[in-house]
Amino acid sequence: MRLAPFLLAAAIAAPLAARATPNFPAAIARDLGLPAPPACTICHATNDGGAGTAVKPFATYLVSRGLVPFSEGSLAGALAAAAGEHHDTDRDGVSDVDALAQGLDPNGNPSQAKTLEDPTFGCSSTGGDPAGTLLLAGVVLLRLLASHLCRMRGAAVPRPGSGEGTETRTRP
Amino acid sequence: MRRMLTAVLMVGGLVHAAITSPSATAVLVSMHGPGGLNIEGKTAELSISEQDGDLLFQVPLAGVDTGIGLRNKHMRGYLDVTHFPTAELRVARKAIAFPEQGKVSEADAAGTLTLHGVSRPCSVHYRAERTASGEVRVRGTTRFDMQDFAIDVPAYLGVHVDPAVGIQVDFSLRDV
Amino acid sequence: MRPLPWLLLLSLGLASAAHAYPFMIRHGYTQCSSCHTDPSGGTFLNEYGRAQSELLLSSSYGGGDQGTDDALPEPTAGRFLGFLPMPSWFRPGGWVREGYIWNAVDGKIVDRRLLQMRADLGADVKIGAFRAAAELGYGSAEGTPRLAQITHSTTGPNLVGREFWVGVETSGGEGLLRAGRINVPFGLRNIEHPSFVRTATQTDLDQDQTYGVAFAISRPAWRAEVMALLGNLSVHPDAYRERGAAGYLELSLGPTTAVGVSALAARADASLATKLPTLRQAYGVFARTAPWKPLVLQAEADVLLNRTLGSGSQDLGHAEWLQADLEPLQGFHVFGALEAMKTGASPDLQRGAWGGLWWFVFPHVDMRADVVQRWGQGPATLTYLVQLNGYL
Repeated sequence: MRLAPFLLAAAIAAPLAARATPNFPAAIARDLGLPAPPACTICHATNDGGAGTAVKPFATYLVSRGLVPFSEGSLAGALAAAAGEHHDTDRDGVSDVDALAQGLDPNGNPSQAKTLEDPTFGCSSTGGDPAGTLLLAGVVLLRLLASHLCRMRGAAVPRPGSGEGTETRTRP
Repeated sequence: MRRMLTAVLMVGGLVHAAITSPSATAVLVSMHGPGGLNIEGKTAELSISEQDGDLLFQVPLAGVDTGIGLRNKHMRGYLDVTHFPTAELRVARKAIAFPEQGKVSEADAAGTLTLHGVSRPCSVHYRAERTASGEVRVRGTTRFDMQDFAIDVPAYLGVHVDPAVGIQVDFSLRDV
Repeated sequence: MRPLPWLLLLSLGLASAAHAYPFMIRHGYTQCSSCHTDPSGGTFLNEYGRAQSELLLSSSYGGGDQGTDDALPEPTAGRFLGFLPMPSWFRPGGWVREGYIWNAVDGKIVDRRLLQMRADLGADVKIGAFRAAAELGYGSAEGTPRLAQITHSTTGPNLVGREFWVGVETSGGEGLLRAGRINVPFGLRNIEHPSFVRTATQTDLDQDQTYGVAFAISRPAWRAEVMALLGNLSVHPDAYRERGAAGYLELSLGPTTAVGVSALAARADASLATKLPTLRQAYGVFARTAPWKPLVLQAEADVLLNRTLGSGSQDLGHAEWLQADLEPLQGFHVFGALEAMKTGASPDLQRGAWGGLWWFVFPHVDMRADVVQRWGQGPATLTYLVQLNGYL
């Protein structure tokens, strides 16, 4: 008996654990008692965040104080360090924690592109909520069924070189 | 006189034996397809014999390997190896000049290629190099159109092979 | 680079890319256009490519060993879904890829998530010399490739379109001139798109396609593609769109060896990372070889130049990738890779090591498990990923 179908079934069924994604803006608001979560751009280049975009100086500082990905505990520790050190990223006399409490960006205003809006992506606003896992299961099962049906029916491409079926080209 | 004749016959026999005992043989068949597709069939099976003053090179086609089993199977079908198991190239012995030690001889030789039951004249470019050890390394190349040999142009799932085929044969000889 | 960007990069995109398999060079396929509608590989398969997927890529269960010719079955996967014959001018395709990821820092799991990597449908059309292709896909809230977004949601899933173009074949089918949103031609089109060489050069197959005009040509001894980069229209405002050129040239030194060179130069009024006017350049070499049929080695090395225009500052960096793919049994791969990167943004040398297993269970269905460790700046990170992929 083939093991493959059972492994496939297990692989499809296995990744159904609950998702756990840290929410740093909300965690910052909670840890510092802010009235609202700060914008993602206090750390990221854009509000969409994403890989490789945590390039702001404030982010660099937090990482140097132990911030690790997806760990709200390390975020709390890094913010505590910022508070304890009265760290002022943009050296404007207002500490990073105080800037956040006032709804300001601890990075200050960059010299370039004060008028340039943050990048946005896409053309219009729609959304959906398809079931990706079910879709994958459907594709795999469809492939299994197709493979099984073909073998049962003995579907075959005609043999080449026999003058039948498979296309050949000859000079007129 | 008898001794001289015997010596000539012996030398001739040795040369004959040397030519018909190639080593380090390699036959490469090159075909191309669309989008830069490059198919190479290889075999190490090559025999050389002498007939009526000609050298006869024979390659069993069933052993040519393109690297993919199903493709080999298809190729044997197109070549109809059941009825035409070998490819043959006949070249006049005097058309091939073996060089002296440390030298190279290179030229074109007229020959006849027999494939799929059809014989056609062809031109073979050969290069022979005699090494310091006395071994002669020979490479011969030729090209042909498979349709000239009544071979249907292979096609498979939308991919057609170009009818032009390149052949390269390498072998080594000693004591020639 | 700090752990956070690495892990985000890996978790959001590990192998959610188009299916380009440079290791097919082990079968003498130096030219991607033999199997793919894109002459530089990836995306849709033509009918011949579908058949090769069954013949060469997938595990064989007693249907005939490639080592013997006896009773070799004719492939059925040349047909859509294995049994539907398609007209030769219409080449459909679809991908669904799901995975589960664990991220660890200093030995502690800090993140684990289900990943919806890819769910795309599309088709390539060939009518005479006219060609066209398009694919539309779904990107989950966490996994949307933002540079390929069509819809605009920042909190929910999005419709994405990685590739769509129209073109015309030239030179008897050996050339393809096309315009639209196209994969940037540069380096190895390896499926490990979060690798340093792909992210550092921004030639990630998951989302780094851009709008432009490209010309590709495939000959038995060489292949090449050049592209005028006209800017990614999915990004707003226009200041962030990079414009320039990119291309590669690869020579086949033999049926199982190829070497190539790549170049890229692109300018934006505002870099996505810094918002500063930037000229980004990358120049590299790459190679693929199969010294022994079960073993394929791939390598790429790139020099990275980022110049902030107007300030005179230029960052000089580099990125490398060395991969070995061993296929002891047809369809079952054991692979490993080493990588390194040094850029101006992260002056310390970053290093990575990949390892894993990859099993092409059935034609167009594969399972893969990766372990990726990265270190060099900040705490070392370890990522475990399992994924299942289906191709229609």
